[in-house]
Amino acid sequence: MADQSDWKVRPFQRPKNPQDWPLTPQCESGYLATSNSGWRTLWPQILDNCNSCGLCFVYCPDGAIAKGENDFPYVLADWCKGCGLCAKECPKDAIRMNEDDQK
Amino acid sequence: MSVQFLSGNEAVAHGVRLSRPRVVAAYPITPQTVVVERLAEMVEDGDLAAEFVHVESEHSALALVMGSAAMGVRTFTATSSQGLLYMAECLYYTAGGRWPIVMMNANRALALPWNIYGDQSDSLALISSGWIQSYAETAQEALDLVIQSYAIAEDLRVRTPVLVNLDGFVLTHTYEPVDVPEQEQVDAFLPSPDFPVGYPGTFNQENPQSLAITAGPGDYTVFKFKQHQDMVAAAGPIREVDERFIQHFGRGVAGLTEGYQLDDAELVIVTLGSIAGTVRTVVDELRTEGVKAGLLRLRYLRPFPTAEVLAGLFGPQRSAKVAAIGILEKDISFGHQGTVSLEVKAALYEAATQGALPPAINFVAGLGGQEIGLADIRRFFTALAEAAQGQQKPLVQFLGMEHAQ
Ligand code: SF4
Ligand code: SF4
Repeated sequence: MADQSDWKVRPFQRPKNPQDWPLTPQCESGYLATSNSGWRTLWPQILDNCNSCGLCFVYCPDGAIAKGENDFPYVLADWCKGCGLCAKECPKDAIRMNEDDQK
Repeated sequence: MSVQFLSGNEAVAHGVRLSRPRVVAAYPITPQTVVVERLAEMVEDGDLAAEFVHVESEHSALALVMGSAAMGVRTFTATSSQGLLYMAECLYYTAGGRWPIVMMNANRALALPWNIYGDQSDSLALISSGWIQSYAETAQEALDLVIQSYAIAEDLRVRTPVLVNLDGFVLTHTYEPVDVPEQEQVDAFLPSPDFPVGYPGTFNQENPQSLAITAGPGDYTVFKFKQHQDMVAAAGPIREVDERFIQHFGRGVAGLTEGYQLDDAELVIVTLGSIAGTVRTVVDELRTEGVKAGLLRLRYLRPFPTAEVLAGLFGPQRSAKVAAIGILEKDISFGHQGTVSLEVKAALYEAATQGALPPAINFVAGLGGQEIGLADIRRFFTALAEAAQGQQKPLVQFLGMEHAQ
């Protein structure tokens, strides 16, 4: 698996000439051309009572949750749009949506 | 090559079989059903090595072949009328994703009132969806267009899906002798049905791609600009494929339009689809009576053949001036004119700077399966002759409603 600390926005270098753009709306995987963080007003904070069940990892619609040491989840700042779905789904109430302090 | 007695639908099925798609998914709908039935039989009999997928709707049919195309294989689907409209979302999706899908559409009226007979309002409603659109005149041309469509759609310069239209019943269900090429001939004409590794818009294990990506406000425009540019430029590859087809199979038409008795015609009917055959017959009759009638048939509506239309009507090869133009179509864009009329007139504007344009009448006929007879087309030419002499005529005329307009 790729080094998750690298999971940052890799800015898409927009070519000047339209002919140099991708031939279809596609992109090498691993890119996020625009950060989702601008959509966010709340930020999911993962609390200590998390038992690493992995549900939030599965449910996050943007794949913004990664698994860290011992599968303890952490949130990718550029990718999370702050929807709160993870907090809603967490069976342990181990995610708290706070004021966004990551931007 | 063997000559078989085939309906338009059967000719399409043979064209598809010979093109060897790897995946076929379609939902049966009158008057397209026979295409799906024949293809199912061909797969069952081992004449076509394709995955034939039963789907619960037209929306699913096109979504399914879109996914298959993204896996890198040739695909086919077919629909008609309400089914095409139900697919509408996926039409834009596939065109935007630039997947080289080929679809047959049996042109049929749209509800309400409920009507299962032929007219062209279904495909014309989706003319802006980003699909190349062609219209067959005969079953032979339908078979040929299917094979040509794969060559066009998969061309790296084009990468755009193609909708091949056949008039419902009048063409889908009538029989004619059709030259069915041998498999080896078609294999030599088309590339492999398995796209090369790295073909745009396909999954790639070595170099993983995110397909069907999001593009924000500025980037979206670039993709749409390219889609438009490539569609406009597709006229070139279409002509190349036509010419290669003629060389390879010894028949066909080169170009997005076809003229008949056009170069010295004073009264010209511009039309599309199977009704062109009836217009040819009337042109022949009128010619024996000394009337300089002619036909300009639109084989493709997207990309719109502006240059060819202008050349056909005003080009230097002409020996007479066009005195009146009739645009005959089985469609009405409510509140304005028929869609084809709007398209043709937009092209004519390009010629308006060169001088006054002749009068043009939009003949809306054949709606919901209405029969268009020889006598009707004669009346259209008479109306054009009167318009050419300066008589004021309604710009849009519905066949059968003369007493009311
Ligand atoms: S807030 Fe939404 S986007 Fe962010 S990690 Fe949770 S589920 Fe994913
Ligand atoms: S769903 Fe809750 S308990 Fe499970 S891993 Fe995510 S934060 Fe932890």
